[in-house]
Amino acid sequence: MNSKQVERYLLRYLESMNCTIEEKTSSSVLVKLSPEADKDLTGRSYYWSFVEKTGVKPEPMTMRFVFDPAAEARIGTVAAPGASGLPPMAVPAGFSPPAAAAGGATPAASPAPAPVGARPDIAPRAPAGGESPATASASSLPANPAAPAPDSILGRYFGVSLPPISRIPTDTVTFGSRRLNQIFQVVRQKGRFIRLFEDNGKPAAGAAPSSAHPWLCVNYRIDLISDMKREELHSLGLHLGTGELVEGFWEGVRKRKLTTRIPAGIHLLPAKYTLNKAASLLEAHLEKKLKGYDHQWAEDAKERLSEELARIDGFYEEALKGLSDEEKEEGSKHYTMRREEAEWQYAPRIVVSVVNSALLHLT
Amino acid sequence: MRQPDTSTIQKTLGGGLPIHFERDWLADLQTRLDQNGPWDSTALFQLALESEEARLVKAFDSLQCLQHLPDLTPLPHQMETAQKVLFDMRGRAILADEVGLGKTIEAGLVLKEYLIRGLVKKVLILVPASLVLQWVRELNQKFGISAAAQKKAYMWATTDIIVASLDTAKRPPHKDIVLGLDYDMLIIDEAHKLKNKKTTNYHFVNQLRRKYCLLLTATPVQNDMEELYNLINVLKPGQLGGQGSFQDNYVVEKRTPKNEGRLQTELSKVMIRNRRSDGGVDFTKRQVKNIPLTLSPEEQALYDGVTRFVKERYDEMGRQTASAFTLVTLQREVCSSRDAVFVTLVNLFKKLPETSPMRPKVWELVELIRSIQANSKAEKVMELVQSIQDKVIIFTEYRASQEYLLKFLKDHGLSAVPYRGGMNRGKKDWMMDLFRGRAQVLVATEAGGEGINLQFCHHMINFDLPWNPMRLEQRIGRVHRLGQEHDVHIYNLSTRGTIEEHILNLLHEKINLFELVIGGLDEILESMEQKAALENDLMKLVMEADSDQELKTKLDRLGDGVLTKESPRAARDSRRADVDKRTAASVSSHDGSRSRRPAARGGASPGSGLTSYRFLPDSGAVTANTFPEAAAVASTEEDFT
Repeated sequence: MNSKQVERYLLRYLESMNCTIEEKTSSSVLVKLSPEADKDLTGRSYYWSFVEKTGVKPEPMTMRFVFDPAAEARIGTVAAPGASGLPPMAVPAGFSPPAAAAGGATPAASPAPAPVGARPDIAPRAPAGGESPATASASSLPANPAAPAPDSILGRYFGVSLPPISRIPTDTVTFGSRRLNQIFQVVRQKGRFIRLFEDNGKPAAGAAPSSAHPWLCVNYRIDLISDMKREELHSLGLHLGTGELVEGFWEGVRKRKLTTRIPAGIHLLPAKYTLNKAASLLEAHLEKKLKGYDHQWAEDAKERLSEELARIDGFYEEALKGLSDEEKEEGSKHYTMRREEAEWQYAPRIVVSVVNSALLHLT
Repeated sequence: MRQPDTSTIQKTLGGGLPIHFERDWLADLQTRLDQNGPWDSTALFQLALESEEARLVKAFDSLQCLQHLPDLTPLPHQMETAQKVLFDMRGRAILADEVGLGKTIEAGLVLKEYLIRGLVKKVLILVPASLVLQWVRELNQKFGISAAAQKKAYMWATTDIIVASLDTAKRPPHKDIVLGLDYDMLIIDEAHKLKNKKTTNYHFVNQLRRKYCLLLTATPVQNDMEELYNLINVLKPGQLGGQGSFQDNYVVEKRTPKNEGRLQTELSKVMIRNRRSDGGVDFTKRQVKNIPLTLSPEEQALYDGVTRFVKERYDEMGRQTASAFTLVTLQREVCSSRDAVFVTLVNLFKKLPETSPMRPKVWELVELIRSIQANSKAEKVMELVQSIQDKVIIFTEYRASQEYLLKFLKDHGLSAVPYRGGMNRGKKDWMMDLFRGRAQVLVATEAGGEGINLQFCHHMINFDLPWNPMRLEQRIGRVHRLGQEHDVHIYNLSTRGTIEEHILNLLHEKINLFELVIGGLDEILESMEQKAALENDLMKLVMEADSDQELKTKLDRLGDGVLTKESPRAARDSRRADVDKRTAASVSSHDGSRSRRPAARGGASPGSGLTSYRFLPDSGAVTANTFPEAAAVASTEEDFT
């Protein structure tokens, strides 16, 4: 997934969780989470149980998600990775944080609104590497009585001052990042089972109700495992009335107009197969399909396994010779263990699991 | 509402290939169907499917982990190593790169790949205690792997990726818990601790159940071939044959391999050794500048006063180094700053009984301190920092000197942040961030252990010098490491006519410490029996020398001794071995190009009793310099721990 794909993915997630997008740039998004998304992403279970018990108004968090850190660094919200050059330093002690200065200065100096596009949380930051405007503004500050210098601990002891710590957590969301993996996990938990009906619009008055056929769609993941692993996704659809089986099912079906409510004037045809039976049919289909595969990988793995076992056997048979009984017992314990490990590591196997599944009524 | 009760269905595909169908989803779907809900959102359903598509592992043998690690750019040899471990060695390997080539990165890549493929979940990482936090940090920050340091016994079971010290793990009550678990992957750093099969380390590791296994060590062979054999048997028992056939096939006598070609072939199936000389990794240079300065008369008076005091006391105490700790400290502190020595003097004064004749003498020294108005060293530092115009780390041994420097710099309008051992993790990180982002200067008392990485800075000032070369190397190692893009500038302050001048001379001229390649000192010191030995020798010399000239001569001699110790067994036999050979052997750990002595690059690694490393895999470049003396006198050192 490149950053554009991640961006689209993230926005769809936020939308489907009813989060409020407060600001969107080409490289990041500032979003007020919905309570549900907050529960999923922020790990504040104590806070939410407090909210639920006391009934106070919940205050979900606002977060900034950055999907293009390099571009974002140019704008200045986050530190550029590995930014070199001298940052503002030698700032006189007692120099007030720029945000306070900006806030205080505006009413005193001019009532003009903040420049369009200025983001309150980034305005104070100096662009990395450049001639430091922070230092420049610092020198003009003491003249401004509206900005009293706060006596921060850092300023007092180390002569440094920081802009106020942004209360908006900023998170990089790139492929492989923790946040995206977390979202993936949440989504897999919350997008397991759906039931949808095809909606062909209002039937003409007096027309006979159209019939909806019951389909079970299952998205399977097949793992071919030895000491390495390959995976495949298969979307299968089974007509629960006729037993007709379609591959690549979801891809075709998702383009149709589907709703979660039963549309008016529709007649649901009954299912003939139970879910259990349907699952068995689908599994039988996969099994047949897998049988047709070239399983050289499994043959190779078996060969590696038998080589390993032969090596282990050879070693221990020699090593165990001429040992005392006690040593022998210890030795054969290791022997068994090493053999089991080899099986564990190399033995080829196939695991079929289900990503998610849909019940569909299609006309 | 009957639930389907089977959660998995097991079958066998033709050819005995087992196939498992997971059925746990079925019950869930049935329940929702029976109760007509709750149904999930269609959008999330689609997103879930896409997330699976995005992370799908489409091939058995292509590296997935890099697309998950956009911020990491491994070096070519690290990538090659990771791929070889994964696809040729099948996850069981000894990573034997020389120091400083990033064995941790290689291990991290392999681990990440297995985690992404879902082949590994539970991981045990055993490392020396001092490296636990560093490993945890590297895995988390560089690889996004949620590793945790083992702190409580329950964590063995609850934490999937745990980093612990081997010494902790092998002790009760931990031992039984750890042995009761199955580990998808076992990683052991500094794995040469497993070279002796009689040790508890070896026994413990052999009892662990693991699927994949990585052993990391820069010194796979230290003394004899048996060590290598043992190490490989931890990994893949029988790879070099049984005990008997190994002896017959590969060993002439303890330290001399035979059939080296075949041995190398066998080893290259389980071991990867990248070497600095293979190229591809360019370390930047170290530019060393010694800055001599002259003490003001008042400072000189204090120095002389303290030195005299220390000597007198030491002689009174019958020259017992063991009890002279405070005195040595005084002597060292006076080289650093008056503030450092002041605290110790005052404490000493308080401890002395009222009647002690020492009291007035101590007080005299305190009075001397009072008369000092300026600090020559600090002024020099100021000058340096201003001329450098870039980020600078200043190292000092003493807290009082640190405090003084911080205040001094602040008074002169320079922003400096402190860093010391006593700070907790969070504060240290904070100080690092401040230094990275806002301050020009970091004043640090602690160099090693916690492993701070400061590649973004390439100037360091040694305000005073530690007497332990390892500590000095650790200081330099903070900035001079993989990832440093600039030459590293090292400034050593030394005051004329003090011990410091001699120490600097010893470390710089004799050991050539500042210009060693990364890890060079490691190799020198690894072969010394006690790493603290040099420091102790130094103390004794300093305390016992009667004149400056005598001290200088003795230090010179000590310096020569250290060099021969690089190959300890050769040193032990120094009376017999001829000097040229020894020097040649000792130089092999230096980067030949910068060494003042005739270079014998690629000779037998110091500390190795082996005639050559030729048989190690990927070592075609190693020349076959043999040192028969060194080998012949080598005595076996068993490492019982």
